[in-house]
Amino acid sequence: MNIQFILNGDDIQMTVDPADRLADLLKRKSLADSVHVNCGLGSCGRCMVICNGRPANACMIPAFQLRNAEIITYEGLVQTPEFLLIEKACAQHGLELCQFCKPSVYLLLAVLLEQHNRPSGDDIRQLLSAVNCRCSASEDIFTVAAAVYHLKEGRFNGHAGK
Amino acid sequence: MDKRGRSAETGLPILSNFRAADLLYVVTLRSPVARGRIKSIHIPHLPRGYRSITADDIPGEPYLEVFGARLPVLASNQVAYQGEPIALLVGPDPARLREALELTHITVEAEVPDFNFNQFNSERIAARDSRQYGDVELAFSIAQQVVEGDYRAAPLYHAAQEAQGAAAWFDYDKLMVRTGCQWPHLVHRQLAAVLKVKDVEVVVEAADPGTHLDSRLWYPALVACHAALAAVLCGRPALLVLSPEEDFLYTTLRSPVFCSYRAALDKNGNFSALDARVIINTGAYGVLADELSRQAISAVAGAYAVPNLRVQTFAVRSNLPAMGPLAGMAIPQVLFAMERLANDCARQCELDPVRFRAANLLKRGVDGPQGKRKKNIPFSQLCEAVCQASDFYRKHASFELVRKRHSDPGSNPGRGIGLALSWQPPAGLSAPANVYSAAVEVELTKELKIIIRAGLVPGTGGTVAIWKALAAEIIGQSPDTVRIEPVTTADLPDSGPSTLSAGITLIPQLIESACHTIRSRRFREALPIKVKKSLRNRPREAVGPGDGCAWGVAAVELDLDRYTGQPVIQGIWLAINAGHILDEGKARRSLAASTALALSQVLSERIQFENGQVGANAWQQYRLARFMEIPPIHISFCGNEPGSPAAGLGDLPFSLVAPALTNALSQARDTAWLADFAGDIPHGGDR
Amino acid sequence: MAMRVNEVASPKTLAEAVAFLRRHPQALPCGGCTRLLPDPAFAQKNLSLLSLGWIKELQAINRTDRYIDLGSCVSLNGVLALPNIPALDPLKKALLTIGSASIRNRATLGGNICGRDSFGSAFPALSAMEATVELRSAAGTQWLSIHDLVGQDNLPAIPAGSFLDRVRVPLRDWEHNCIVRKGPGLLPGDTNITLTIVANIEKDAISEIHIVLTGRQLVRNRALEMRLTGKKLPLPAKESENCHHDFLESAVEAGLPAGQAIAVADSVRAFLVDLSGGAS
Ligand SMILES: Cc1cc2nc3c(=O)[nH]c(=O)nc-3n(C[C@H](O)[C@H](O)[C@H](O)COP(=O)(O)OP(=O)(O)OC[C@H]3O[C@@H](n4cnc5c(N)ncnc54)[C@H](O)[C@@H]3O)c2cc1C
Ligand code: FES
Ligand code: FES
Repeated sequence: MNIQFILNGDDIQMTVDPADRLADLLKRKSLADSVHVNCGLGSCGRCMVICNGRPANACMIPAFQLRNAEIITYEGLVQTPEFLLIEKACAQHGLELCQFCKPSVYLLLAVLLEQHNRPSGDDIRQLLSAVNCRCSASEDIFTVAAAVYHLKEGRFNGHAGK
Repeated sequence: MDKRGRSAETGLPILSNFRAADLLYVVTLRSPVARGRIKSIHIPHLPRGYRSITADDIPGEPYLEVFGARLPVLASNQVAYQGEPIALLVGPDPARLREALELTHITVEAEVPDFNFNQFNSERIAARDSRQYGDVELAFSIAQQVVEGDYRAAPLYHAAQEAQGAAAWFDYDKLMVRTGCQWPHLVHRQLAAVLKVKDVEVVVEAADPGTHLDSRLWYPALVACHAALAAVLCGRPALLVLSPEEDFLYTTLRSPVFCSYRAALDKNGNFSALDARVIINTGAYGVLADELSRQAISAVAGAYAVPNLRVQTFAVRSNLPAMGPLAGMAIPQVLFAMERLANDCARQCELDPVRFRAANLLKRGVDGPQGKRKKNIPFSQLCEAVCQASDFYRKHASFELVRKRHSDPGSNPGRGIGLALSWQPPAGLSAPANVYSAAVEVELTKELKIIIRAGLVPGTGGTVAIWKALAAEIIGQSPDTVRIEPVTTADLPDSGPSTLSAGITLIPQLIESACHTIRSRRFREALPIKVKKSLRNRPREAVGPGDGCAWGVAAVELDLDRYTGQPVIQGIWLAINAGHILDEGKARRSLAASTALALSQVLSERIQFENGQVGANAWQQYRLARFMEIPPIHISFCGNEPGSPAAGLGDLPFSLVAPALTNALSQARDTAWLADFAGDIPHGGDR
Repeated sequence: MAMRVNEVASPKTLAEAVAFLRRHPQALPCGGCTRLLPDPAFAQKNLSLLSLGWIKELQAINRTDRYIDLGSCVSLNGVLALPNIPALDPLKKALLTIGSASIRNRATLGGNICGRDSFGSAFPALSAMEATVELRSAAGTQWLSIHDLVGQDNLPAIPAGSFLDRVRVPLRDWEHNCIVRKGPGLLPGDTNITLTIVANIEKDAISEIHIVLTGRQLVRNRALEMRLTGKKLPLPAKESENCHHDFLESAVEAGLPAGQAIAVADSVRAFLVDLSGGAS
């Protein structure tokens, strides 16, 4: 079948098997190397993308559900100001993520930034637990998540970069 | 990440991002049974551009020679475990390859497999070791009390971020092979032998192995040979990446270990003798059997003084896939048993577990299985830190009271707190003792860039940051001017293997020494200046905790959930003495991360077995703990004084968490129930 | 192993969806596909799918004083985001046990209720809360008790040629409730079971209690629930033991392995003990 969707702002049209999964398509066609297929079961969270504004596991999105979807991957995030805020918060708190998880964790942090209300500690824990990191301490990631939001508020109040 | 898929932090590429024109994919045809003789292989007619590869196509040695074992690159006659590679299918479209795989039929005359490793005949022993001193029989005959226990550690999966695999392609006259491995030179040697080519004709480049937990000591050599065979026989680049399920089912798991202990105690509650039997299941082919049994024996008495000792270890082959070391060469499994035994002994003597341990500890100047110790173990200092922070004495005493008073066998006392003591040798828990070397080259270029070429694979971005900061500081430049070059076998002499903590403990020493040399030559010689440093075969102290070890004590407190009966961790406290710590923040983060991982291993990562083998749905049932399940982890450092030698510490949680948690669990659950459960880790896997 | 899809329709209206089902009565309706994709039972099968995600009506949430209607394609996170409705507590607790936050963005309530070979983790909560469901087929729509989706053999029985429109949950608070998850399985079934208990107390007596266990089968002992209703608290220890025994029997009868059956019966007893102490 033919599908059409938006990937990081670009229109994509391709012929696919309806049962193909977004993660495989992105990988196979070299559209987004940041997406890793680690478990293929929706568990590890290393294939995270933002699908229509929400984080989603790309290995659990069948091609036939991609019609007109808007997908953002890490490659798209890198070009936004949010990315710089996240980089800054990670650097400030010494959080070093591996290259397999960094794209997914950054996308989750970007989703937090989009929220209107300050997320609760529980929201942060729930959301960031979607990636099964094996190398960082959970508290470090939660601290960075809170810091990212803090930086955003600072930006709105005109304190960015201070 | 740059366009070639290299990480900015580690400089290592991600294997699955490998791209090349005319790329061929490789899939593996596997044995349907655990043991038997191959009768026939029926491969469907393959379209043009596709081919199959069997053992007959191998130009050189059809075997890998790794860590004392010989195992077929592709089985041609006998199969020794379910899923053993028998043939490869190669072609341009992975979907068609999978279809072909389904239509392939292998007939194997099945034989009765050996899964059980508690009982075995001498033919199955891949290695054995023993140690005896004093008069064990006499000590038992006059013992005040005898405490016995069987402690089992089940297999664990490494769950690294990418499944194993390899890519192979030609670069002019050289065959390039990329694989996520810990020891590129070992892969290189195997490739040269299997392909029957000269050493200089193959270059191995390390891909990012992820958080491998030492699961990539040798297995990458097998998949590298498969990808390389495809590339050589088809004359095109080839990529083999195992499916996540294949990686789980057929690559190395941590060796299951069964420890049967018997301790004799005198009237003061001190060990008068220990009689131990340790059986390690190496899976098929007995890879690392010698090493595992030697290391296991070194840890068998833990950190305790035992005047009369008899211990036997057996590394036993079975028809499970070849097992591996995983975060410690059987040492964590054996320390788990000994720390459980110490707990059981303390309970039997009605002593608190701190006093029992303190009284039985190895002491300075006293002869033990480890020879004469020069230093005391910093137990009381570490214990004080942990016990104060966790309120151990009060909690332990009151939970113990509840346990003793509790009479209803249908319910649990419900709360527990447990303690454990452990050490980490200087090169990390899993450095094989006799095959160790490391090399580093540091270059200061004309453009004043610092380039580090390390023969070992840096574990994480964090490790790389430490290397960069160190080099920059000594040479007097900013860390931004430091670049880590990809690890390949072309540049440096044999280095390896990269174990969990080698990147933190050994490479910095070499970088430091190379950078000091550069600094002293800098204004006397023209740039560029290149300095190579290496370190070879520093055999580990053969037995037990030597004087240069890092030490740790952990306490874990837990409740049993009233409805699920599952342990809910209330707190976890660690105190560590690892000499001078270069960066306390980083050390704390690294320890917290390993502690979380160790907790996940103990609480969640039980692999479901059916009829002796990993079950058909085990992959769907395998679960890692999520961030939100990890409780706050409290860490304190003792003895962090400048001048005291630094020791690696990142592996400590792998041998501390399991026994501390299980000791807590033994208090929280009633003893009757414990009888058939006590020793087993991991404990669960409920979602 | 990958799922195979022969044909897939993604209608935008209910009428188009019904028309497709009339032509393809064996087609499987689907929501987020987070259950279909990882399930080995669907691997290698040639499926015809009816993807319901584009139909606006199925995304709707409507609330009255007495109940809340949740469209079958409302995502699990969509339900979790509903503010301040204490009556939904048991359902929300159950939903939080499913997958991760990102899975719950795509997973739908309909997909959870309409599993073909086992009951999703939200099913026992909805059953205990006495939800009703609206099914749509070529013949029109009909409201049923959620228990009508359970067959004679206590296995799921979703009528072919129809799909779930919405779920109606009565807005009734359950002061005491618990959700207990057991087993390591990724998907609900023999190795991933969920027990839900909801209860209310009036004048120191149990005014109502529902105990539902699901996995591959649904286990509910209505006689036991009736017996407990009206009982004065605290329950005598003997009564809790009898309940343990009775629920254990029902679980074993439903084919649960002994270890699992004992564990859930233990949970039932613990709930009753807590209820007696008013501590749940
Ligand atoms: C990592 C992970 C963990 C999970 N954990 C759990 C868990 O703990 N418990 C649990 O219950 N599930 C779990 N799931 C499965 C799944 O996410 C949930 O059950 C989810 O609610 C299913 O919704 P869906 O929309 O994705 O269903 P789909 O996959 O689209 O469909 C599931 C089934 O329902 C049918 N169906 C869907 N919508 C309708 C409809 N409107 N009318 C009729 N039939 C319909 C389909 O035919 C199919 O048989 C997990 C999944 C993943 C990936
Ligand atoms: S690969 Fe998608 S969640 Fe693991
Ligand atoms: S950041 Fe990747 S495993 Fe931790």
